[in-house]
Amino acid sequence: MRKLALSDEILMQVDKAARYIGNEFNSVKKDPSSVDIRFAMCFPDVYEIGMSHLGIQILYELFNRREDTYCERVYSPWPDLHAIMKEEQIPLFSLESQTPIQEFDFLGITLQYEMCYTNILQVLDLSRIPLIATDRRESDPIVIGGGPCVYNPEPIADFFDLFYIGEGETVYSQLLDLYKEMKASGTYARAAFLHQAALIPGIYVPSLYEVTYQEDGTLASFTPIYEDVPAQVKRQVVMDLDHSPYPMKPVVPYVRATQDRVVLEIQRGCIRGCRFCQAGMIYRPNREKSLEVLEGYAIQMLENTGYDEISLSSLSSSDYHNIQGLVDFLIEECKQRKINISLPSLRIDSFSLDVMSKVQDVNKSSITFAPEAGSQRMRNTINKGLTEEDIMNGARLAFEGGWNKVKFYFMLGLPGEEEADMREIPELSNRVAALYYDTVPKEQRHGKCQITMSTSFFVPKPWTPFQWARMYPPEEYLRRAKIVNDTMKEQLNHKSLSYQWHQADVTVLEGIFARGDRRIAKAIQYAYEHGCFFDAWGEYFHYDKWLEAFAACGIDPDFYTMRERDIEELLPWDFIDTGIRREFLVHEWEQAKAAVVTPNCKMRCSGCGCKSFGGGICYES
Amino acid sequence: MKVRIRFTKSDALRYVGHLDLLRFFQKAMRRAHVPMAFSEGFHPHQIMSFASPLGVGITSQGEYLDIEITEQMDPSAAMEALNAQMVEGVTIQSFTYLDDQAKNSMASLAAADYLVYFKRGLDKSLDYVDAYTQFYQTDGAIMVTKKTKKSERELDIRPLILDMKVGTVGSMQDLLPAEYADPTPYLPWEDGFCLNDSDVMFYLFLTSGSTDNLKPELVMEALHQKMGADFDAANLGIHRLDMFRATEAGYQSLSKG
Ligand code: SF4
Ligand code: SF4
Repeated sequence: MRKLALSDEILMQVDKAARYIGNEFNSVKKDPSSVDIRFAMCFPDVYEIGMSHLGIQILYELFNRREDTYCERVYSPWPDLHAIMKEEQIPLFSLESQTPIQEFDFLGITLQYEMCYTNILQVLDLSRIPLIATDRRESDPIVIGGGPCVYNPEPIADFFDLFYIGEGETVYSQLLDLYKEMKASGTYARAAFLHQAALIPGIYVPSLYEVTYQEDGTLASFTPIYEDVPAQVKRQVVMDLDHSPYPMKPVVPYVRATQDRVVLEIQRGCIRGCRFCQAGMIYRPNREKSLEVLEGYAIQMLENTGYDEISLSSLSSSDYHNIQGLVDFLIEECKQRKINISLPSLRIDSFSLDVMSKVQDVNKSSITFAPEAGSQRMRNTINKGLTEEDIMNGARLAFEGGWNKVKFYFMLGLPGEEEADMREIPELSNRVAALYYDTVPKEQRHGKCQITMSTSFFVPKPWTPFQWARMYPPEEYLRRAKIVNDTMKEQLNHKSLSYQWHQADVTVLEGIFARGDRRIAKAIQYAYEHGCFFDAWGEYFHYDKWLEAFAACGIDPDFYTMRERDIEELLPWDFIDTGIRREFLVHEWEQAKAAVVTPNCKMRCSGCGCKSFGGGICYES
Repeated sequence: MKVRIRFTKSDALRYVGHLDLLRFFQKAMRRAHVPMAFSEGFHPHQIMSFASPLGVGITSQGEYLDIEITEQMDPSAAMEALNAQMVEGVTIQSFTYLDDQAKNSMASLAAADYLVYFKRGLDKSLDYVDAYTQFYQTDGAIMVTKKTKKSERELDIRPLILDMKVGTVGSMQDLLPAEYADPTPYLPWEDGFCLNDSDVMFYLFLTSGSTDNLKPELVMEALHQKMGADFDAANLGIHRLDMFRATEAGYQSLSKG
């Protein structure tokens, strides 16, 4: 019988004890004493969220394919268990073998969103690993960060021994080999290993770089402390997705995960280049998997998991070269097997509506548009190629097809936004509602149409053309939301409209983390030590505590948020070579200000620089 | 075709709630290629139900899952295929065809039996054997307050206790009806549990199901009340042995259809 790290008494007290027992179907079992490398892979959020993440499953597969390595999983204990573990001094443990994390060689933490930063500290703290990398002892695991937040790792640089910049499938084996060799030859010491690791392309060891600041607080220099350590860290990219490892046997949780289905990644990257979108930049170039490979994956994964649903994963599924062929295949295959299909990120047009009518209950489902901005001028600014005509055509087809629920996603606080742009959000929604009443005769209506508008507040992200843009104080965001709300009430069809907006103070904090520098780490540590964690969960987010943390650490949050940066400024993330040329970003920033659109990668290459990776869309058109 | 599956639930799996366990079985059926029958509707569901949900933390060597399949399967091949899809803590023990007219296990459930013990030791000053004699070996009502979401009512549970015995962990076999499998492999013996041979253990045979559902916790609470002793529900260990339907010939295990 497997021994669990938590006692029966504790497991009977906490919510959803099955989060902590491991032993899920397809979880990998190895004898820990038979391997050279023990790797703990962490998603610093609750189990149900972490288990839904594809990237971890890919790395889990990749590492466990190695006979010399045992990769196990660990997630953030929910606050109820966190309190018990602190009180009873129980160390954080891996799910598979229920071993304390401190005994591992590596702790890899994936960083998917900024609001998980305090949970990194929770994981380190419960694991009894010193929070600050330079305080760590020889016996402590090497703590690695990966995921999209590493495209500006500086606010959390102090907490990590190294960051892996890019796609995990590329140089991880080099890193593990290096570790194993140094251990075997007796040359391993923490500092020596980190120095050697920093020479592997894509590996960033923050402690080997020295940062100086100007008097005005901006960066003055960012330089390696050893001559052989590269000044620029190059993002690692997989070119052949068809032949890179994919988790054919994903772990199947007992507890219902957020993503409780087979996830089929059809492509990486996006051709569209929306100017606010970090994912659309940092995963360039767009690379697709072949239809044959995807067909095989779909069937094998369904067979190996027993899931009753399959979902496509990509930034923009409609852009997949043979989406029709793929969807036809899935519909046919899933009908026989009685499997549900979920198709996120499809553009609304006659093809997608036809598909949706086959895979969902039209009466219950809604159609989704993400124009991101209400006015055409703003959509040009952000380079969102969706026109009002596209929306109206899509909506009309949907209404004719029987749908009467529409969801809209918009952003407020975009660069150059004026009151007229804000008012266009409900006005556009009103025109869509009017279209419903014009299109669908009274006797065919199932009640009113329901149009839901959601706005989030825009956060400028590194490696986008908006990385220089300013943000606003929480009150200003709320003022803008109020304009939308008030304008909605003036609309003729206001009874068919509803509006939700995002929390404004979280946005500001996210903005500080997104473009912060190394000095922010102190405040994150202070906030954690004063009770902040699970900041991504509204009920645990305390803005006042964060303001207190910044004040206590002598940090002026406005420096990070309220300033439009000069394009000459040295930015904290400039040491990364993502493949995207600075001139391209500057040009796009200028085009944005002039509200001029840039064609997508399929239409014309705009020379962003990612052609240098030698594949993908850049060589197709 | 209706099929009844008997299975065990133990080890870490006892922390998996019954809805999650249902979803686990739905996936296992697909992986094992069991030709499940589906409900009608836009999102068809496998036709599948448990006899009685097992509370989180409770172990069992006699759980039942009823399913409907569309093609005949050889029972031993089906069991083998399903067991290959199980995890530590769940084992399929039988796969039995039912009559087409048979009521499902949930509807026919009338009784269940249990072993009950104290997880983290017990108050040695309490004489459970004596208490048991006064509690059960006498006639007369055993009044308890049964709380539901809506109401509280006084209830005599005496007629709902079909049998009750007291013994020790070390001689638990003596508590069990004949032909029962050894419960030892399914009981949690891990650290933190004080299952000593000399510790007291009860056998309870209680009515169960939709009408007269009596939980072992309530019986043990009543026993403690009778003794004038504190009752700590969290310290109660429960192991379900089997479930039964009522027939003219008396209670019959659900494993017999
Ligand atoms: S379509 Fe635009 S917003 Fe969506 S992923 Fe691509 S670039 Fe980003
Ligand atoms: S190099 Fe051209 S085609 Fe390739 S990603 Fe950049 S803009 Fe697109």
